[in-house]
Amino acid sequence: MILDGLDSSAMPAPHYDVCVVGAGAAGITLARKLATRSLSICVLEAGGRAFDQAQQDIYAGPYEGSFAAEEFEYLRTSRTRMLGGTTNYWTGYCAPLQESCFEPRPGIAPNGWPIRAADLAPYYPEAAEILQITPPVHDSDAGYSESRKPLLVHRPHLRTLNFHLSPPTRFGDVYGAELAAADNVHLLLNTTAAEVSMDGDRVTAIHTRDLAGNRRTIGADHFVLAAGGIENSRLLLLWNRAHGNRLGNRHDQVGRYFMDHASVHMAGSWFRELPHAALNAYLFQQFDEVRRHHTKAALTVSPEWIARRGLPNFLVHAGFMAPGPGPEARALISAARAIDEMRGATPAGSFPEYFQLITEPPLDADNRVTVIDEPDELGLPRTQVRFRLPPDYPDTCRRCMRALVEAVGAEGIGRGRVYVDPDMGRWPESGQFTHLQDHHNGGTRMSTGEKTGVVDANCRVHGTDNLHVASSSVFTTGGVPNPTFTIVALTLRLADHLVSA
Amino acid sequence: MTRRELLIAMAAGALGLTGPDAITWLRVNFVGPDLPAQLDAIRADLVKAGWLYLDKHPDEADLHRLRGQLPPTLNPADLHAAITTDFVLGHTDTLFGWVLSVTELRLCALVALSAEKL
Repeated sequence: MILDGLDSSAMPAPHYDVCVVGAGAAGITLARKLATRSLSICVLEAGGRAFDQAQQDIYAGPYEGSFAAEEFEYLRTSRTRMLGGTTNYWTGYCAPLQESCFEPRPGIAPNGWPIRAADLAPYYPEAAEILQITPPVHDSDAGYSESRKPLLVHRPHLRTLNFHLSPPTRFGDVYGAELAAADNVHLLLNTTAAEVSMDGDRVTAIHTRDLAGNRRTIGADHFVLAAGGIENSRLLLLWNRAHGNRLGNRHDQVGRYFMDHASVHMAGSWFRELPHAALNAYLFQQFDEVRRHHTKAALTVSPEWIARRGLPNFLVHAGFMAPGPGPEARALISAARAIDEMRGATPAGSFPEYFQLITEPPLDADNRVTVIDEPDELGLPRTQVRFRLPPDYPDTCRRCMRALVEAVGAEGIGRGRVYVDPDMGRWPESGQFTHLQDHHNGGTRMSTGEKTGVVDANCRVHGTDNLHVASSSVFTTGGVPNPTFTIVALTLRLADHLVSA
Repeated sequence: MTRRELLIAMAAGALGLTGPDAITWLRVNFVGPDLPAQLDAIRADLVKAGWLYLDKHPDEADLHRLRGQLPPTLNPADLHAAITTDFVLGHTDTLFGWVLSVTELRLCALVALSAEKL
């Protein structure tokens, strides 16, 4: 059943088995999964069925960081306050988080996640079905038609990271009717979870507000915060103000280690030996006849290269853009091409293009979501985000790109250039070559203890008995793939945990 | 015209003749018969690439020093192994943004210097 909170006569039940805050990818996945277990569920969605600028403006708030152009728009435009959440404008790129992202890595992620990739792997196939793509989705030749078999997967130095493209699934459109028809689900729209009541370490009720001035109280046995990568931190910060930081914030961790993926255009290359039809897998979204969904390949280097060079995880998307090489570079390419021919490769023409580099976001406790005194339209403190790239970010990007083009050379399949425009002396601040991907990770990160994070390995908020978090806000590290696929997989794992509890 | 441009022009002119060229000279006088025949086809580009490298590293403009920095035998298999190792270990140089292995660049430089001797 769907109720509109703006309607003062809409009356949800006073108590549910589970109350979910947010109806995006995580909230809707959780509600659907728990609904099959005959549990009573209330879902509180801050937005309505359709986009509403007045609702969206509630998201506005100041941004501080490396991207001056984002100063006034990042918080308002990088997410969507409506049924389906930010799936209303996501691109549909799905790939599992790489195994190494979960591991402790000196200088990159000293602690790692409290879970491992193997803990999450069983949930990706079901997540794929929810996102309307066909498993398997881990990098493998299995299941690909011959014409679409990804290249370079088994190369010793290079790796292909295959993205499987969801239509993309708009969760409100695709699953809204199912929730509306479910007798044991109450979806309350236009309703913001403003405050909580607690009894000891247990959350007992959520108190709501809406733009019509209605106030409601929702009780439940379990509460799940699934309001998105930024809003989860904001709501926890608000709720902690009234409860002495008992909700995962005894050590000032809520909102910290906020991450987003920055991307930069900075390299070109040419390949040889590879047929153009196969290279298209890296340039264009292509329909896979076996899997019945589109795929798009990206390049990276092997885990051994990443570890040996102390690099963050990274990937590159290829595309046409770069001008042809000048006369000097043509001689270099010709010489290298002949030498490669001598090495045993078969020439097949040149392939100029650009690379869009996406690096694993840096871990910085000072990159954080906070709240400011200025109230929003509901009278709640607005959000502020600080996300600053470290001073060595340009150098890190250059090292990643150099590793990629050196791996191309090691494979004997081409050469690459690391493109550094004169204006890049000012990057990333210039904003000319870099932009954020709107992948809000961290803020309520998963950790073994409350000194280094906000939720435990089961996504339960440290210091509470019955409050959990679902979303990319729990990501301990950001990895490089788009986060939605892992958000859904993590949510399915949380559903299993809640059912067993 | 700079000295390098003059030398490149002279080398390119020399390489266009039907008589002894840099690669043949290298094979007969300096390297031995292993030097791959495929290099003959693009010797002008090898010379240009070699001078681009020597322009950046003038201290390496010495046939004996360059030869000593290359694999003992310059057959395709040994060159392939050396170039692959260069890329894996990051023993590369950047010219006009392009990242090439130092072995392949030194090989180019060897050809360039040989052309100069003709």
